[in-house]
Amino acid sequence: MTTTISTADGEKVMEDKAYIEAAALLQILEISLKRGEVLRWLKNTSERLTNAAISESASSNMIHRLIKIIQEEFAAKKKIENSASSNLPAHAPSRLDSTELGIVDFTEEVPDLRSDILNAILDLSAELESSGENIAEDAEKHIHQQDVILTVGKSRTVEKFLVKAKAKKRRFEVIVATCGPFYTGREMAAQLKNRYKIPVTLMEDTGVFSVMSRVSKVIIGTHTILANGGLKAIAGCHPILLAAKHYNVPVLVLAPIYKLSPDYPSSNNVKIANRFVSPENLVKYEDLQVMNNAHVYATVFDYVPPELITLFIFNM
Amino acid sequence: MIWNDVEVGGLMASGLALEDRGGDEEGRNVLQTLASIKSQISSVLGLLQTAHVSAEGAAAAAEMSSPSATVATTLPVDESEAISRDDVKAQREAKKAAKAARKNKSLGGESVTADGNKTISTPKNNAPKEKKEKVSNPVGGPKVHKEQNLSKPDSNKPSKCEDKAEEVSQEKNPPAKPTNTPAKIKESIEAVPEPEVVNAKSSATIEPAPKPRPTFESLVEKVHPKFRELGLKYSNYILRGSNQRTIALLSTTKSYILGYRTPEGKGFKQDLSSQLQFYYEKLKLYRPYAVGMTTAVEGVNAAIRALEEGMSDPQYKEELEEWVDRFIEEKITKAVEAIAEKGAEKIREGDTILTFSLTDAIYETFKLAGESGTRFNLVLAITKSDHYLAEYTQLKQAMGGDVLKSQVNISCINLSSIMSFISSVDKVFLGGHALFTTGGVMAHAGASTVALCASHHNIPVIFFCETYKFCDKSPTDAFYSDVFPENKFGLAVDKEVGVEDDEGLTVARICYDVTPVDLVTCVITDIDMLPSSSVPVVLRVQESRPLTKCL
Repeated sequence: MTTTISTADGEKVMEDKAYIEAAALLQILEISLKRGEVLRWLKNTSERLTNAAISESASSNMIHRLIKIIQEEFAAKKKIENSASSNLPAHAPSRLDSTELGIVDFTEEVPDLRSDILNAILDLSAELESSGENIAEDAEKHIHQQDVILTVGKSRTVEKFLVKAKAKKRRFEVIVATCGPFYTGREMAAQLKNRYKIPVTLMEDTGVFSVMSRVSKVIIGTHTILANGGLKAIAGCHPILLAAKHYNVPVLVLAPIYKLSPDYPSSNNVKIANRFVSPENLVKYEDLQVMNNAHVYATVFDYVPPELITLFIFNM
Repeated sequence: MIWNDVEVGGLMASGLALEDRGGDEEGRNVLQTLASIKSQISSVLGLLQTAHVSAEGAAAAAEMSSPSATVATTLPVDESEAISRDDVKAQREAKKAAKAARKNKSLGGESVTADGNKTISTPKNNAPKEKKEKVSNPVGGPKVHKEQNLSKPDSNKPSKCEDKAEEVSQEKNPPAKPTNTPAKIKESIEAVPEPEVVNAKSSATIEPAPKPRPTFESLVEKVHPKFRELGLKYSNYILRGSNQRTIALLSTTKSYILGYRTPEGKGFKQDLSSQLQFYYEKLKLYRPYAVGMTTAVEGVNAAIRALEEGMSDPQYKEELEEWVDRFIEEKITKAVEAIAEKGAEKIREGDTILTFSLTDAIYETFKLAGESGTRFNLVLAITKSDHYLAEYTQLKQAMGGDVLKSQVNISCINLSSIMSFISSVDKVFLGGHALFTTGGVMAHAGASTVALCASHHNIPVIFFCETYKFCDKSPTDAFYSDVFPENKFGLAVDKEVGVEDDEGLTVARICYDVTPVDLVTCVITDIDMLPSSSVPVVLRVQESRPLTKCL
């Protein structure tokens, strides 16, 4: 259950974990359990996953959603059972609020709940799989002819978005800004150019301020979206978005819903804290013998405040 | 650059003989001898070419190239070592053979990647790739790929290879269909007139091509060896930093003037200034001028113009020598000290200072701060280039290793991560390359990002810039591009713009950018601490006091 690869590209790993979660849950729910135990087990799992990989929050986000779905389904079923003569319509789970749920006793037996929950889990999995395509549906609305699009680092969501726009016959160019410590932008640029034949220019993030006046839009992916609307994105995003703000260039953030996290950015919140990795891409090991007095740091994430973002595009 | 090291070696040998005499005629003699050597080498190479057409020959030449490559890298640039002409010739031969071998490899080098895409391993015509000395080897051996190429006539793209290596006629492939990618790349390379980069390995030195393009060597043929040596030091980044480059330029000018002999029937002033103009123009081909160097050049011209008529040649030379010495002393050396004094005042005990784009003035500032015993924290922003090591070593040299260790707490962070560390920073010190009349400050690429992030947190951004780097131009955005024609982004680049990489990617290497005036708190100059919008005033004041008389 523990994550092994924890990179800024961790979304892939987390997706798989979420799948594994869903599949495991399906299996467990095949065995009959009391509802209360399922919820408790889910909460425990969420805690364990969070402790295993502090900065990866996708799996715990998914589990929280699942818990919410189970609770809603449960309460909806109960309402249908208990209040046959109530004024509420039979299917109104959206009208449940937390106070109602709070008084619900989850240990009661409710028939057919398991099949409903299994359906809900299948829906979640389908949503996961198709998140990229769903986000890309809007591509042609946002990318116009002769646009110069700036993107940062490697993001499969952004790649699908751009490819969809190209498929809809938009002529545009892409500048890929590559940031430390991993410099994944190079792969992104190579992929866009070689496979999809999109005209692309690669540059380091140091040069972004110079070209920002010629950019029409900035389109980025992100690692997590925090509760205040801010981002936890790869290091280097914040300076680039500051430059975009300076030149009033619109910023689009593409993200599937499982990246929405209930965490607020505060200094006490360990979950949104930064991570330090080896700076080997930046400073060679041999050089450190000369630079024997210097401490070299390389962080992975960057916090981006919400006011720098123009628009979020989700898969719903 | 292997080629240039050999050139340097050859020029050293000739330069030694000329050191005490200088002057145009000796220079011309030297160049004639060099030309004769070149013609001999090209004839030898013609024989080598025919012998090395096969792939086995490529392997043999690769063996030859490795000892010569090691020789090339250890070729001393130091003037005191003499290299015999024969050695130089032998090295040149070996290098040309190696180059031919590499060409053979790369011509057969269409590697097929796993997902069926063809990538081009482009011929190593570009100097930056030479520097990396990395050959993206094809998946199979060269022979295998020749067969593949012959069997798939419709799918290869050797259009560039063909043009540049017509004399190697082993490839029987039909001309490539003009696909988008290689044509565009070719355009972008051809659109940029970079004779030194593109044509340094061109066919003119191997065998005359049908349409000879002006080669770098033909362009700098008539340049005096002293200036060629200077240019090679520039292009190989041996001399780095505006101050160093300007001082070297002026020293070379001085030694040229001292060795100058007026030819028959010409005036000292006219001929000297026209010769120097010619050399200065050619020097730009090696590497575009730093903005401060332009000021120095204008000063030299003005000084020559201001020479009084009727004096003898030795008197002229003495005056010019004195002028150059004074310029270097007042505008550069003393200026750096003056800046350092004011800058060191800004460093208080316990301050955390973020610095980037380090220049002489900043090193001197830290040195002074270290001498006065201040303990402070230094955050050095690093980019992926290799400059960080040079910067750190220069800092260590300037401050002294013990002082650095005991008084300064250095952290190095990636420029991408500055926002995570910026809240703990008190001041930002940035080294300026030039200052414009709009108030924009030109510095290494990334300085504007640092200034932007710092001003966002209300942290003072202080630039360090000598007055001789003040420039009359006014770029309205973040570019200042002088020599190279701009690509569609109008990038301010030093050497390479839109250079194709091994994977066929267009990589934009931006060397400098301009920080707009609203992001700059102040600029420390040798005159005073000024707001960056005060450039026009300073220039006007300087105009009224001409450089030649009083500085």
